[in-house]
Amino acid sequence: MSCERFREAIAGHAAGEDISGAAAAHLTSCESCTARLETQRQLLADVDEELARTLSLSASPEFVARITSSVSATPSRWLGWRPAAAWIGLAAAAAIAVAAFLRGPAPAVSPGPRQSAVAAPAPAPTPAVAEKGAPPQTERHPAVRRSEPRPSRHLAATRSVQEPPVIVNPDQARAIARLRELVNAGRLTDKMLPPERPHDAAELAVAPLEIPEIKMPDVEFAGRPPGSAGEQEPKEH
Amino acid sequence: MNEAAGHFPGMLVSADELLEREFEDAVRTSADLAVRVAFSILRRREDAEEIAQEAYARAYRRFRDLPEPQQFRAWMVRVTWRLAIDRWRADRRRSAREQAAGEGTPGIDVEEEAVRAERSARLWKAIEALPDKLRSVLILSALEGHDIREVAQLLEIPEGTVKSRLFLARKGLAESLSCLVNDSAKR
Repeated sequence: MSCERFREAIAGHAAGEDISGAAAAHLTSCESCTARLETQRQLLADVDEELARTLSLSASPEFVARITSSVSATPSRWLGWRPAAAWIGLAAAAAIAVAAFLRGPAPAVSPGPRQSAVAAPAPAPTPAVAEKGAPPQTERHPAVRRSEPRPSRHLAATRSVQEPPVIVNPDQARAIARLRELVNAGRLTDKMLPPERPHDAAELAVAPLEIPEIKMPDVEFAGRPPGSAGEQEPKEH
Repeated sequence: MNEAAGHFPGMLVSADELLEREFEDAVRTSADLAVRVAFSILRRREDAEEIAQEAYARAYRRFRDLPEPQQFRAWMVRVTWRLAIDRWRADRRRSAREQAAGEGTPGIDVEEEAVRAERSARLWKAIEALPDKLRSVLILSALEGHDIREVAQLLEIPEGTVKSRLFLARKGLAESLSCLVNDSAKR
């Protein structure tokens, strides 16, 4: 009965804990518990030996090679992961794009509908639009609204995907994409870039992208105006 | 302008390659540890390497989130441990189902094994019966001769907790193994 009482203390002693008091006194006087302590110590030594023996293995050389080759084969997403690296990349692409523009004549602007829409100034809102569609804040300051450029929808879309708020026209975008390809492929060197020449800041300025406001056609309602008291959902029969 | 532009492509490439190189170095320095951690649970080299590979695949995707490279080993230990435990539990459930259905391969007859293998199986049975928290401390302290401080760093727990868990693990093993020895002696 008393052996059972000190069982936990003896196991703790085998695991390295000091033993004292009644448990120590019992241990010195009980042969069974002394033998038990010795057995437990031996078993723990076996555990240590087993762990050391079993866990001494190393990863096979093929394993490391397999991991590193799979890393190399995986398309790199580091630029997307590291904001700093992404910003460096974008800054580099923008700088190279400017250099490319300085090098040769300005690219021809195709008179497509999208390009003309970009180049066209924002028209003043028609009275119908101003009355029906414009929010009340802008309506209170029509002069400010006419004189300042409206924020581009492209700009809002760009911000929503965490990209820098830089607006370029389609030709510039294509040039940057092409330059980025060349840089990534390592095909762009110093020799390919134009020699330095003085330039003024106005030469580098890029006109902001503006999208003309959509002119809503005036619609005349033949019957009752929408939202009137008599308007109801058609009933299903 | 030219000078700056000439440097940017180099920066682009080096930023990319540098991280890949960093990751490959981290793999080389931690591969043994990851495989050993997985092996301590699964006890089969093929399974251990498979699990470690999976852990590295996860590590590759999240390497950017590690603010300190020194954390990589600890992170790998924890991920590998969790994956290996999941695999071990799934294997255990599957083998239990197979045995219940009578479809499994014949089990290893312990009596026909050598004495050393029998003793090894008994020890591992007792180790596997330990709670995860105690088992991880016991195994990590046995791996590569890690001391208390290193285990505490790997598991990101205080050194005092490592000490108490290690003590509880050894005490539990002492009790359970002596019971097993007594039971087999009685038979």
